[in-house]
Amino acid sequence: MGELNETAASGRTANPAGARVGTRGVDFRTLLFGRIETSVIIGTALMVLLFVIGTHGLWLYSIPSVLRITTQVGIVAIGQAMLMASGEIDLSVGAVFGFVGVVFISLMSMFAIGPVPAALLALAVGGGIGALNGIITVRFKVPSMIVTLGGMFVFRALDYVATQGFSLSIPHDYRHVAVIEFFRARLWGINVTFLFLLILTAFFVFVLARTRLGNHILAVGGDANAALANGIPPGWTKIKAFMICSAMAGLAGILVTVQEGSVYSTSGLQMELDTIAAAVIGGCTLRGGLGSVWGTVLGVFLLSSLKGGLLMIGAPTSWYIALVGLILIAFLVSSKLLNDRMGVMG
Amino acid sequence: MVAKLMRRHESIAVVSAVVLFVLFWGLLGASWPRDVPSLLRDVAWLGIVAAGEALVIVSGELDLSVGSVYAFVSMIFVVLLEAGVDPAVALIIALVLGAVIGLINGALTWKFKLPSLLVTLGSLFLYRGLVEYVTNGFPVSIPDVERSDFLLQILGGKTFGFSNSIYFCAIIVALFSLILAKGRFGNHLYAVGGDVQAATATGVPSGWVKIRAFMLCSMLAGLAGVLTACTLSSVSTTTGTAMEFEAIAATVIGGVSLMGGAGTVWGAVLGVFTLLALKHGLILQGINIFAYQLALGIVLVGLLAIKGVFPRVFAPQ
Repeated sequence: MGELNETAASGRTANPAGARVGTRGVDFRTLLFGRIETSVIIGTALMVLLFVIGTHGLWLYSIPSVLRITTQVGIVAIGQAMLMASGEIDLSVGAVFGFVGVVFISLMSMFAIGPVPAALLALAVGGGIGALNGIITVRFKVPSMIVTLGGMFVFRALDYVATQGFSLSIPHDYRHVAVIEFFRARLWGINVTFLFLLILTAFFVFVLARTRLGNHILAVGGDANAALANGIPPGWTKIKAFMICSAMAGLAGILVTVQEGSVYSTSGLQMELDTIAAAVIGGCTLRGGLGSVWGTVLGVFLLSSLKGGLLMIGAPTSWYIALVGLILIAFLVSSKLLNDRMGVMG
Repeated sequence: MVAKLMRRHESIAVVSAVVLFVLFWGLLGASWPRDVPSLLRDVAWLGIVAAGEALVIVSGELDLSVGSVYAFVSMIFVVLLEAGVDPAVALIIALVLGAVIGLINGALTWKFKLPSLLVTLGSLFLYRGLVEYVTNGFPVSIPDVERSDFLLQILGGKTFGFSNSIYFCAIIVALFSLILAKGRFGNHLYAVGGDVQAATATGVPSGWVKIRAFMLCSMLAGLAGVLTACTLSSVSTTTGTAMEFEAIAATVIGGVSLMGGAGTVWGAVLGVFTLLALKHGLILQGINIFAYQLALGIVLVGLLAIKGVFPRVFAPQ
């Protein structure tokens, strides 16, 4: 374990653990600019400053709603970041997000089981979908982009069929159960589910930086053959990353369904694009081998605060989509230039 | 003979296109041939986009922005017509706009060595946002006085009962199949897609080849958008949403390798034909439209999984 840790850290200077190892000295410049999260930290700080000044402080009142959106997309994006660290990508997260919500409600309404077992079963379905994606990718050597593109079509279609193009609601009997009320509750004006996001972020930062699984994921993403030579099974590790990704998408689907009381045929539409954009802004790469969970969540926060902020300064909503595109490209270019200069692999 | 055919990248698309066509003819009878003109028209629109996508994928890159570019260019074209610009000028501006969009995508990808998937993901958002900004979310339509214009009639009219878009698509497919098979650009495209370093070492201007592939892709997406706008006389903001996914799926089914360096334009268009024949057939059968999406996903993954399981049968030589 210790040896593997070292292998990964020395082979890839830019993974979170490695970056910290490299900055143990006093080089302040590297501490601030030599990270894969540098761009997203600076970007978020600038944006918040801009909105607070631009709206004379009114923006601060929109924080609860920004955090609500951040929670929904953020949980999915954490899974996407874990998967991207292993060098694969999942285009089906948006459809799985909706589909697991559909399964959750269907289980309650058809089999009359309580919300908790229904949620657990639905979560298992999510994990199963991830396993399926992973097995097809690894075993049949189909690029994950195509496998999950197929998954996107299939599960979106199932969403539509199950909801008949409209929506499904949580059955009346369960609407006021304590568990559901708990997840709908607010604490100091902020949704309880946001705490969930914080816990999950902390958990997966830990998993990626300090556990065997995280170490394996980064090693496999960095160089699958080298990982295999060191006794790490690349296929199985990738399948696990796929399972985490789909299960997280499903978890977000369940939480949002509980919060809103229903799931729609369009739930999670385009979420795959949003989460990939956020993960990339947060420092993940398509090639894998490095990635940051908290950077990704910060990326989601950046994008969702942009949405609320633009509304408040009176800009047309169409600016939001266009700006997401511009920001994504700007981040790609700036982090590339920054990394070239600071010697971080990008 | 059969084994030789099976080894072609396009074999799966050829077989499934023929099988689907015959199958639906058997199931639907006379109503199937009657649907062929509208089927081919839909194939032409998505086919032109997929032809461009195939060029980019063969060069080893990926363009996710085709749906947004399709909508944006056609939107600008119609807005120009509304402003009273001459149709010929508007068409040229639209095509140049497409080329410039492709140039930006390609230059960002090559100059900064960024993954094209992410660069074009950015453009997907950017141009979709611009579409909504230009139109404020409302559809735009070609003014009545302009509709009888000669050029617009050529772009959007019908000849021998078939939409002119079909002829445009056929010309484009023939042209690019020829260029890819015999032309220098095609040769360079396969070389760059197969191995950039080797291509550069032998003197192929790799960056410029990729950038040209991007330019052609965005231009073709724009042209498809203009043809659609001329045929339907209006464009809505949601035009072309998720088109990139359908184009990529069709291209892959048509035998173009996502790794780059292998595949043909006619294969990609045949992939489009397979998909849309399935769609039209299912609709005419009265089956829920979402069954199409379901089938599309399963067919896409299934076909590639079969290739993965029996590599020797389908391996190109």
